[in-house]
Amino acid sequence: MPTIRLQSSDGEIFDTDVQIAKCSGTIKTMLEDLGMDEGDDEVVPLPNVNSAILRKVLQWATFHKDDPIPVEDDDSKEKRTDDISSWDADFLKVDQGTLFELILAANYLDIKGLLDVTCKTVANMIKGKTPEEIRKTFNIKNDFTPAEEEQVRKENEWCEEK
Amino acid sequence: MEQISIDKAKSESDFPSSSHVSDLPQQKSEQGRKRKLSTGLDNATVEPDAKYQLIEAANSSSNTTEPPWPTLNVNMLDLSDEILLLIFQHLDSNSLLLLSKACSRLQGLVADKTLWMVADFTSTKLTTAEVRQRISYLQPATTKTLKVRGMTSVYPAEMWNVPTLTVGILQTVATRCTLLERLELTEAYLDMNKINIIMFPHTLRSLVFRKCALSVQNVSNQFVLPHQQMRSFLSNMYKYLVRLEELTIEYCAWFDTHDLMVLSKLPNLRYLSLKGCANIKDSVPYASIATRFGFKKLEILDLRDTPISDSDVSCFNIVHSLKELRLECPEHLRTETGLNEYNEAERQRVEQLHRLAMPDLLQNDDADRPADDGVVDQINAQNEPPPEGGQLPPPIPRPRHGVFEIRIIHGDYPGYVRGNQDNLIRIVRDPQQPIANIRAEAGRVLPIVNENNRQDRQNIVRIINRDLLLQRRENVLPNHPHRLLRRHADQMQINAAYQRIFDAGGNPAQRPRPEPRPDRPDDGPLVGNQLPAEPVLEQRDVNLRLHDGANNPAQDRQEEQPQQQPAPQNNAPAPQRVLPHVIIMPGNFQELIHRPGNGNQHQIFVNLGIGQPAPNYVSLVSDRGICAYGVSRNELAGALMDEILNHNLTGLERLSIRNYKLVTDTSLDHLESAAPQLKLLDVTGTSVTAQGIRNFKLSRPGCVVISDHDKTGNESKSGVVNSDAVSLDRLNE
Repeated sequence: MPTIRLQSSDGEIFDTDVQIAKCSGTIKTMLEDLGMDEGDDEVVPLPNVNSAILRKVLQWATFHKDDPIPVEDDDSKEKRTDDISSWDADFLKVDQGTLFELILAANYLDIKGLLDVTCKTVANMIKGKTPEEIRKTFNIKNDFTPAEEEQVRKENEWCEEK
Repeated sequence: MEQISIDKAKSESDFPSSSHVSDLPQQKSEQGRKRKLSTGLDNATVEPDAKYQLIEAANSSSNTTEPPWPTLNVNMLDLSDEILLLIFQHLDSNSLLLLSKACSRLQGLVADKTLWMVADFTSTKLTTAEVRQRISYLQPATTKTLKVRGMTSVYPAEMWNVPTLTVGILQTVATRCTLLERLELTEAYLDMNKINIIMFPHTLRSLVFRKCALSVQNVSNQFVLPHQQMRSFLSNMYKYLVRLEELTIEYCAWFDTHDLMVLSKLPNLRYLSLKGCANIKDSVPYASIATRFGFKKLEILDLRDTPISDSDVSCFNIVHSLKELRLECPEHLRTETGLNEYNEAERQRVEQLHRLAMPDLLQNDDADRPADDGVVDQINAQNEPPPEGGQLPPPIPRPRHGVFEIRIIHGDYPGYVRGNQDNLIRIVRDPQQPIANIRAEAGRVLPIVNENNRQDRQNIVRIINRDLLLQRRENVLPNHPHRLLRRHADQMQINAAYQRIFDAGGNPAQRPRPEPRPDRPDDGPLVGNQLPAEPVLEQRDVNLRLHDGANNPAQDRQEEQPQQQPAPQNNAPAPQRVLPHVIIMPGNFQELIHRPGNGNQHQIFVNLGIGQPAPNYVSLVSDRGICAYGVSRNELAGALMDEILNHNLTGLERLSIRNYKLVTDTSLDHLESAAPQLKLLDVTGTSVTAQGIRNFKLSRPGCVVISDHDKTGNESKSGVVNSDAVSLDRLNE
């Protein structure tokens, strides 16, 4: 089984199956474009991913390495966020910071499945919350001026209805 | 912006184990405690690590102005716009609006037009004002889908004064979203007096009404009378919504069969779902024309969960473009009890319709009569003065399966009894053709019975006036007219009279007298009297027997017969004398049930007994309906040429017939040769046998078959089939 050496931002090196690494569109393209040879000891630096996150990403990729390639059909796509598999749900029981870093890593490494499931997880955290609850959850500062705030409140009294 | 935030995220993620970063404050305090309390080895192992983290944290916090610990995490707002939009894509429109109120950056982001391709507000039940306010978020260039949920599930019927869409909203949507292609209304309430389908955006390709209500339905609980009938909500739809390809009208009580005509004219309609529309039964008059001349592009038809019958289904067999047909028996009709209850309810409904649709029938009777001969429809009530103003009697609770009610109405029917317009009691209740009969009466025409159809005759109920009651009334009327028949003796008399009649009626070989009677001589003139009055009755049905209840009191039972004496008296005053009329009901009657009705009313039921078929208002889809699709080689008997054969095949590719017990292997046999295109056949819950399925699969290996037998029996294939079932479900959605 051919492997590839991935180096995280903090210098840790991960020997990884090429097949697993190819979950990442970025690595896949790089391997194909650059034509890296097997057995090449060259290390692939991933300066945007630290070792902890990279470890998680690889863990995810290992589990999902046999998944079919998701079809892109944006038009018919329903906005569903309740279709996260239980393994993924468990996998993503992490703190907010890690979750966002996973999103960043998935985006950088171009791993569509992981990006999808992490974004859905965050979306689920937003859903059904009032603006105040959202601020609290995500530590967001309310930067509306009192006047704006008042206007928003008047316009949107339905917000507080629930 | 994006670059900055990524860099920042990166700098923050440079910690050796950033997944532990959030635990730092806790670790720190633990370390502090440990320093004080313990001198153990663990101190040595943990401390350096903690120190390292502390230092790093301090460094990073010096780079930012925010407090060190809580902000060590990547905050949501640290993410780039691009990534935030990726996240927000998964939010429905209501959540987006709430999100936009959190802070100004999010407000700006939420307004991004890419998030408004699909405006889905269905997570909340919206009032008119809320809909209006949300409409303003729609993006002119990008919004292609709008989904709204109304309030009908919240308010009881009378309180649906919260229209989900108004004319103004529709106009705003139409002018603002020039590219709107799909509109979904769920549980919406529309005021039909103000809104018509032609006001909907003409750009629509797909329109969905799901569990929607229209205003007409809650104007009153009464049915709309024919002359008050408003234009259909869907009228003229085909002239304006010319782009419409998909139309879904699901679980909408307002959809009626005549709407099929409008729908058939939609030039581009490809997909039609009428799932769960309870009024799509008896659609043949409209569906047969609609399918012959319209529905030119219809490919998918969904009629699941509707009380349709074979005839309705057959109508669509001439839609050549049809590729998929979905049928499923409604859950409440799957059991015999459910079916019977439904039939009973239907019978009641039809009857009520008659009364409402033909008010003049009752009112005329009323006007023509003297005060004491008013309109009544209960046998006992004929002795009461007429209700003032010809009020409609309240609906009467109906007996169950196998029991007919006999009603009696005073009527003035010249064609019926010439020269004896007074005191005529009659009702015709023909369970098989209720509408035709009542109509005929309304038009003062004798009921028409198809003489060629013996079955029709089997269920005819005729009640004809009897001296018995009237004569008694004459005697008692001045005092307590409506109490008359309450007396047990009177009831018994009536019973006896009826019994005799029934005995004769059930025995066609006999002429009026089933048994020799001492009063036989009396019979002759009376019957003779009757004949000119009702010649048609006599001709029409050999089973029909006319008896004079007064002069032929039943003696086969032990009833008292005090009226035998009054009867001859009554014959004397000729002008007032009313012809004895009789209930004729062929068949085996097991018993006559008298039952006190509401108030002063009294009901009589005839129990047809076991084994008598009850008239059904609904017949479920059976093999007959399925076999209407295409012509199988058996039917062609192999005598026809290929080209003719090809013309007679159905183009159906996907067919699902679920939970219809009357669908059997016959259908499979038929489809095997008549539906060469069939790729998917779902016969779950039908009566097909495992053998039938096997045979079908053998001859049609390319067709996926889903049935009950896959799950239990067919070992190897079950996995495949189950996955196909899933795919069908997906396909159905």
